Amino acid sequence: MNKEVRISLRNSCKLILFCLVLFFGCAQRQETSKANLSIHWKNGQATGLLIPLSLLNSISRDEISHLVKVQLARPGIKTAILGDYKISKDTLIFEPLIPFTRGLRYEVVLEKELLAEIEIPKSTDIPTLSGIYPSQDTLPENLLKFYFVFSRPMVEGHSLHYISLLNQQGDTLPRIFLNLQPELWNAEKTILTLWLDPGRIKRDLQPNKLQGAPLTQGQRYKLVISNQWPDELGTVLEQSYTKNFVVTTRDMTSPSTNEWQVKAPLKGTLQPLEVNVKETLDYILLQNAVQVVDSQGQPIEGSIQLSDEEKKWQFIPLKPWSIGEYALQIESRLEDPAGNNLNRLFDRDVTNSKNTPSQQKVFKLKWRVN
Amino acid sequence: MKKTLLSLTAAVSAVLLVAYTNRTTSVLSGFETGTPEVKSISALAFGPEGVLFIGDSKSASVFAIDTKDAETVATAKAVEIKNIDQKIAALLGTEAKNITIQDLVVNPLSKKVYCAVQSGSGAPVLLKIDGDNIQPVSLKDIKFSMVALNNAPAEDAKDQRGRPMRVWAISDLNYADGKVMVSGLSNQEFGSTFRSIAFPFTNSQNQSSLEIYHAAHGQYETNSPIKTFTTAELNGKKFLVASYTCTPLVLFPIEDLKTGTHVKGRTVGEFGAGNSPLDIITMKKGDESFLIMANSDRPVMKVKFKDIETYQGSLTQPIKENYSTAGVPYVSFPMVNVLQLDKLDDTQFIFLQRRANGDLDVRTSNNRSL
Repeated sequence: MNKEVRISLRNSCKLILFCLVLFFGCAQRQETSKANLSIHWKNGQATGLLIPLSLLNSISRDEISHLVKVQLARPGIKTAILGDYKISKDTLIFEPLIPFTRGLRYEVVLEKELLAEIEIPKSTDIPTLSGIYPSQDTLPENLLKFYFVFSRPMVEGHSLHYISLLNQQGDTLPRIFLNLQPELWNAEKTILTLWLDPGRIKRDLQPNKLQGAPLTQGQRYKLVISNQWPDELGTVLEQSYTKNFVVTTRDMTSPSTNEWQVKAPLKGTLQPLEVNVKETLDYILLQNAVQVVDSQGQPIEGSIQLSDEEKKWQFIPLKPWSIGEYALQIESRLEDPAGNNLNRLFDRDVTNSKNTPSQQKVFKLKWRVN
Repeated sequence: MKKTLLSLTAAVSAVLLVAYTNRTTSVLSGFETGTPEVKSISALAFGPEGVLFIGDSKSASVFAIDTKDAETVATAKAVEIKNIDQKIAALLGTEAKNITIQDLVVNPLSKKVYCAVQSGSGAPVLLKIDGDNIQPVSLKDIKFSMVALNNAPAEDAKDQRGRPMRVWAISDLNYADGKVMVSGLSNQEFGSTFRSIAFPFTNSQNQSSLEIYHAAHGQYETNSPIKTFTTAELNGKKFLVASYTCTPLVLFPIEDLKTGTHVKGRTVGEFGAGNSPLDIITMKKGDESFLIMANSDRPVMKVKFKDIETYQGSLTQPIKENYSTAGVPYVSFPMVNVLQLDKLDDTQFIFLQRRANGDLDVRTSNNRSL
């Protein structure tokens, strides 16, 4: 019995020693490997992997791109990642077809031998939702769209997974939004346009007849944006967001620029030009379809600010105002939140001749700096 | 000798003439060599001579690229790829949740499948699928031609700093009879935008921007955006067969689609509320032609062109029973959750399907199902 124990102890010591050697050996190699690989970054994206040629001593430069593979470090079938290999001085650079995914591990393999492994660190820049428009908390029954404005470029294609509309009983309402592919993002992927199903808003269309309008007058709703929504680097929103609103009557009038009040700035100042547009208008179109021009029709450079629930439009010029005539030039495509533009209603009764749309493309409001 | 010389001159002239004729008739003759700046791939369509049209929403352009894949193959092998999203994700070094398959088209000459993939990081990827082999299609130093869709210079004048720019999201793209047809949705104002652009593209920007409407039940007019479309010949006349974001199937005579005209379509089918067609193709069996339609919430449907031809009415009465259908008759295939369709050869079509177990597969259907 004792003998057996002695032998076992001796063997165990050998085994422990062996394991320690193996552990330190591996750890050292792992560390070296990690230290040797580096990432090439561009705009927060990992666009390349720099592999020192010293790791690949045994093979000739011509063979490198055939024998070296970069692949995802995970169990299961291994697939070489598509991309370009090039040699610059003493480094092999691998540029994948799309940037490496933050938070995933990758390995560099020479034939079947694992040379090195690296994790692409997760992004520390956490995205936030900076606004939901219309910003009003009373919205018309025929509301057409919401805009969601984010602090960072978001992932595209799955927005409806993260947005839900709850009625006052707390039930999630199905088929409220139009599922479009491609989704309507701005080029920077920071603003999403989301339409409520127009087939349900337009009178007499089958979805409207059968399912009714998406929103009902007098009801309270809660728009919920999940904190699981990732940005383009895979980092999820800082928190969940909600917008509570109550629904009022259908908006069946086109916005009219005749009602607008213009407060002219003083000459020689950088005072903003203030325009009261009298009702909440489209957050993005107010910034896009309205322009300040001089008496020659030349655009004045400056920036636009919106406030008072998109009822107040301000223009801050780049250069001080000079005395003279100016005009506000408004494109007819400017809409209210129900999609009625300066020329036509969102849906119009063709049997009523009063509703015939105007063909005017641009509306002008003249004003002066004295 | 003189005779020989004459014959030689004639032969040389003939060769030159043939060469000249070939040079001038090839659609590729006006292509330049370079690297097109494709910022996104929203839709794909093949044209003549292996030309692939890429609809790029982010840069509001259509690119025509020479794939150099113009060898004619009469019949194609059935395409069966299980878990295509996972296979593509592994090749791109990421996870399936980070990619979206935007479009899947078949080169009508080589019968190879081309696939547009959008990744979370925003980089678009074009892939060519040949059997089990998935390879990237490089856009570096290729022959291409392009046309911008934002042709109104005032539309996006950069006079105001930081204002959000308009994106013209391409919802579908098709080529027929020397014309590239593009349907699009703005991320700002609501409305139908449809362009027909002569191909080869010319400097004169020979494109018509159309507003096309359909009348819902006679009384209300709808200028909703087109979601997907195809072209077809009915009773010897060419038609645009369009599906809207809010009404399923509307016909427009192509000869009526002229710049500045107000074209009204004829609604020929309602295929159930809460459903929206995702892709439409045309197939033939014997002398009969069919429309095959993939839907968001219904199985794949087959509509006989003969039935559309004989269906001379326009839907004017609202449908009484919930989720019932009206207009042209159709047959449902036992195929659900089909996201993309394209004709593979005269007797087969491919489809991208989300299976009941969650897998995303590319499969082939033969004409027995027709």
